[in-house]
Amino acid sequence: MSSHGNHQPGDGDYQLVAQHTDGVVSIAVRGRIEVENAQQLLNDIVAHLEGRPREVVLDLSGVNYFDSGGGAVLISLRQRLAREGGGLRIDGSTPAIDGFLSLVDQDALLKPPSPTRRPVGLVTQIGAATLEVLSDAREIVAFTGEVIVGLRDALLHPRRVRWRETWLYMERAGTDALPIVALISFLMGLITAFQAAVQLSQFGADIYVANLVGLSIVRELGPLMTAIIAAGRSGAAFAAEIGTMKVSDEVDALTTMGFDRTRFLVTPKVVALTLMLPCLTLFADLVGILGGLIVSVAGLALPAEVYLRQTRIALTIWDVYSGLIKSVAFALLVAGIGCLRGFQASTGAESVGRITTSAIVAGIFLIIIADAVFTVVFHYWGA
Amino acid sequence: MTNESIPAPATARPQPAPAERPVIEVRDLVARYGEQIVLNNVSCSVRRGEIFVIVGGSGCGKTTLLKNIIGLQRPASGTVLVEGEDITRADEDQLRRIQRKFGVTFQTGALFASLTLGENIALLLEEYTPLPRETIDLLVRIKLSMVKLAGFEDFMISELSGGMKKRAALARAMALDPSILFFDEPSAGLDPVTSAGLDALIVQVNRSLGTTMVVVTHELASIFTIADRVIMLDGETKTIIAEGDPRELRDHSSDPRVHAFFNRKPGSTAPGRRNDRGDRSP
Repeated sequence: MSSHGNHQPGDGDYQLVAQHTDGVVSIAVRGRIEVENAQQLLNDIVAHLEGRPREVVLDLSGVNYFDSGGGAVLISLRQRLAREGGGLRIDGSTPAIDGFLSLVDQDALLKPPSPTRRPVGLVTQIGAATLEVLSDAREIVAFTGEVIVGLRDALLHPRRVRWRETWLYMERAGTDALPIVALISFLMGLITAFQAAVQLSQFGADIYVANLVGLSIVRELGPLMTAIIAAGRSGAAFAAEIGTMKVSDEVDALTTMGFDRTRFLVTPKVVALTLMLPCLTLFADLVGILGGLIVSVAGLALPAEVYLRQTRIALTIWDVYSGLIKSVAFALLVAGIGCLRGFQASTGAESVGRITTSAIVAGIFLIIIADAVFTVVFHYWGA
Repeated sequence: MTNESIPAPATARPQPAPAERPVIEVRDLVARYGEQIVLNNVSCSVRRGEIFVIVGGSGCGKTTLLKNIIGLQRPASGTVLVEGEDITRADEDQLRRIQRKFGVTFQTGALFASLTLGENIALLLEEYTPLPRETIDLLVRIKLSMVKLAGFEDFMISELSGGMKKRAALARAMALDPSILFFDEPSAGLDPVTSAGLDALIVQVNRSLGTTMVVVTHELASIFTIADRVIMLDGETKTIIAEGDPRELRDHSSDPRVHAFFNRKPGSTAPGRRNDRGDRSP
């Protein structure tokens, strides 16, 4: 039994002629076989394989361009025929096809991919996560010890502190942060004053807007917002910098040179942020009060001197101190977690991205926890 | 298709027709970082199907020349024609179209660590071809089998050895069947055995697929194994001081710098000075 068919697809750059003879399908392909038309060609060839032929003979001598797409067609066809008990023979080829096929290890293609990791059960996952948390906690404790020792050394031997780097970090974490701190604090003061004015004006208590803005900014919002900005700017920068150094073996190089990684990499950052964050907080307090002042003067027709006098009456010096004490603690937490996460980088850009995100998230989390602790402590202390 | 039906690999070196236009033509290229000239009036051409190697001492401008050829840097003056198109004056769209003809392997591999090996190769096929998932997966396995990494498609990059990363980078560079492959220091950081294996693979790909290759290296063993033709850049004159068959240059060059380089003798080339971009320049 024999049949003859001529197929010439309109959108492909190839011509295909098929002939059926006693269970053997002879197919001649001419033209280009490339990635763009590979799927179409495979479909066209498969359309001629009805009746499970025992052999397919391909004549590719008329192919004038052949790339990986053609290779995929041949290998797919071979795999399909092997599954159905047939065979594929190439009868007529070109140097390009020969060269391509000589490079491909076709037996290796039939093997399943090497398993990289076994699926793990729920209990194992919970166990692994617990161990990870414990290991992280141990690292945090050990690193806290390292930082405390580093800061003690810095206090006992100030000349050993690497001040050149410390000045640089003070500029980056402090001066460079002034515009964003100013903007956020101003808006916080503005928003707080607006919200307070809407409520207090109903009772004719407009003047107490100054109390509300002053207290909330100085005691709470000023230190908190400044610390959160520092976590996003400086904490992330510290983590990314140390993480990149870790990935490129610079941290190992420091260690093998006999240098203390804490003194070189951690202390300058922690000292810089601890010195700068209270300054930024003070600045944020002033700008926040200014935001409230503008709303009160423009919206409530309060004279500026009345607003400022009321603010002075509302605030005690302890309110300012408590905000500054908090900011010192926040600085230690933000800088510390940033540096720690940096040292936890393993390999590659993806790892640096992960630890940087973690530095910000953990930094903000620790700031909020510490703020809650301070609130409780100050309450019982009577402040 | 049986193994018997697969013809023996083509081993003969492809011989370009003498009159055929070069695949890459560099004409009077001047490259500079700020005021500092790195390459001064460099001209050379790469023939179709050959392995063209750019050699020279550290900091002589090899990588700068490569970056100018592939359009990562624009020269101060001069032209670079890639298959007749001037890459130095191409706009963004033209540049992207010309770069589709390239595959580039970087010194560090530059594989995306957040993806698996298979995903690194599939990324190009997904973006630039209309193929269905099944065919893309098959092509990924084909490319990996070409560099002897079949079965490793689900591995993360961090799980691969240095030599495997280099081969993986080659597989990714070949993903879209480029007509030209560029290699920046392919053997850097590899042991001699792995390095020799990579050299053999480069030659095999070149002979089998006829791909034109431009290689930047200063590894003498690699140069003698893979190069059809070399140019040698000099850090002092900032230009090409030798061109030809590396063995000929080793045995017959009268230039003491060239002779010293190819015979691994001290004092052959002036080292470059590091500029503010972190690259090295003469």
